[in-house]
Amino acid sequence: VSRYEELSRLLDGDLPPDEASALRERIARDPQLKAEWEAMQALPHLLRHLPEEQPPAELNEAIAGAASAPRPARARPWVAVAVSAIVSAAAVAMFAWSEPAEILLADGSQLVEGDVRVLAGDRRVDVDGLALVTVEPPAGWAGVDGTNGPDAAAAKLAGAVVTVTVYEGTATSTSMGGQRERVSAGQTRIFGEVDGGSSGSPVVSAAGGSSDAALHERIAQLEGEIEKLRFEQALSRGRLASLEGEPIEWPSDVPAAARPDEFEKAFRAALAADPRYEILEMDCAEFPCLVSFRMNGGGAEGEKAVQSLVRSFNDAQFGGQAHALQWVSRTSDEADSDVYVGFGLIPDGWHTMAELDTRLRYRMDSLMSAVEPRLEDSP
Amino acid sequence: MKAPAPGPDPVLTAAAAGGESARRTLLDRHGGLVWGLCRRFSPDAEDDYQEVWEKVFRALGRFDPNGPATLSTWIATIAHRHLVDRHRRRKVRGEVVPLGDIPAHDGVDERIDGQRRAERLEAALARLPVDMRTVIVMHHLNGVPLEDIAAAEGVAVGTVKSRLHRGRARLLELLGGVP
Repeated sequence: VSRYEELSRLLDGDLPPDEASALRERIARDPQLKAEWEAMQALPHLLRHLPEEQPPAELNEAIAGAASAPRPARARPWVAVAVSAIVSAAAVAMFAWSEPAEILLADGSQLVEGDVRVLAGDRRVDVDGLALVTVEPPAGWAGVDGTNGPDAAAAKLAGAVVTVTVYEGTATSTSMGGQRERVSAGQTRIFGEVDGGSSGSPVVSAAGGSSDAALHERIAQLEGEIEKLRFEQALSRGRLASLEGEPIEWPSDVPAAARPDEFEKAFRAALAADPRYEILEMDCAEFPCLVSFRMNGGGAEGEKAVQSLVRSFNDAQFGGQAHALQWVSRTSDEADSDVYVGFGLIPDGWHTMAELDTRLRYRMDSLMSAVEPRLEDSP
Repeated sequence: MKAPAPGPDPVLTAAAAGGESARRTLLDRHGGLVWGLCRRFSPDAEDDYQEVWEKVFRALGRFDPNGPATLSTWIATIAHRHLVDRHRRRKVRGEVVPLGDIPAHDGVDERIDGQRRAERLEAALARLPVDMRTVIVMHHLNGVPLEDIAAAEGVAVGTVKSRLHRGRARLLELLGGVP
């Protein structure tokens, strides 16, 4: 129990009477301890009076305005975009960095990027890359509103002409009868009853000629949109870079214990004492080294053992002066759960580097994101 | 002669019935408390803030103004349970300990410079492990009894007390002994 912890217990009357009176006597004799006791006494008051930050005003407005209506959140992605896709003649959207989405497209064009399923007219188009999907509905389609689900919409849209142009990656079109056809990058394929045909047209190159001049004019317009959206995407990536920070070169004068070879050797030796430890990844590509490891079946006691290990390693390698960066997680609250740890030590003096904080958060998040599926999959 | 127990609060009754103005009043009065918890414990503070208030509004009819808990403590407890549940579902019990420097105590009289002192305290709080931070924030900032924290966390009161003592000790260490 630390000295501060003893003072905290004294504050709440949680020390046995004999220990409490002994500590009070020490406080009376020791000016340093007396100052610490006064600091401990002041702490609850200071915490209670920390300024209260208010939430964004628009958030309160939205909540109050929602009144008793439930918040329409976390719907399946395609539901959210279906309405706009249906009513728009040429809806254009990018789906970068989003989870696999499903879009109901009854009429017009949709530019999609990523892993996206487009319910286009009466067929399904699975895009993995960047593609433009255009639907020309059959006569009498206007009653489709998407509210009865994609199957009902598809039935009403039987006979629609669907054009798929793939710019990057691939797209696979599946008809209601289950016939699958693949479209590769640089190709355009037209499905449906065009010129009396009943299925996929011959493949034409994305840049090649077609008898449907209007369609190609629309594609040309949308290619302009692609450029614009790519530019916006680049801007977003720039903003993302500000969250990731810049890679940090190894300082030339960093202590030997922090250097990759020495750090890895010493850390592997430290873990070797307990067979339950297993190193998952060691990342010394930039300063400082970060490592992820697992303690099999460690449970809550394992978390404590990890803390102890980190302290001992810091003491042995850095004289206890390094600053620790840690991420600790358990697969469950069970006594034999696995403990996953992300860990790095920054020698004293280097921890104040201006760019270190952002970069370390990013690197640690990246390192541990590989661990998260194991946590999610655990019972 | 014993005073009669106060009747139901018309604001609570109206808010429970979906009254926008009454809900706005509650948000104005207690929004800071809920926001403080969400921003300190959730990576999706805005989402959790909305979800906590949905729960509060749904449960308002069950709040007993003559019971042991004040309205703010009752709301804090709902927020706490929600955040604990979220945390468990994420199954991420650890966190990256921020490396941001805690501003040094520089001799300026912080009894006067309250803002600077608050910044130091917030920075130190953010560096506490989440179990200790939870107890410190719930108990000291929001006045929730240790027993209620233990019930929400599903642990013994002794465990919560231990986290409180270790949390205070760690805070003072981080602050170099000068809060």
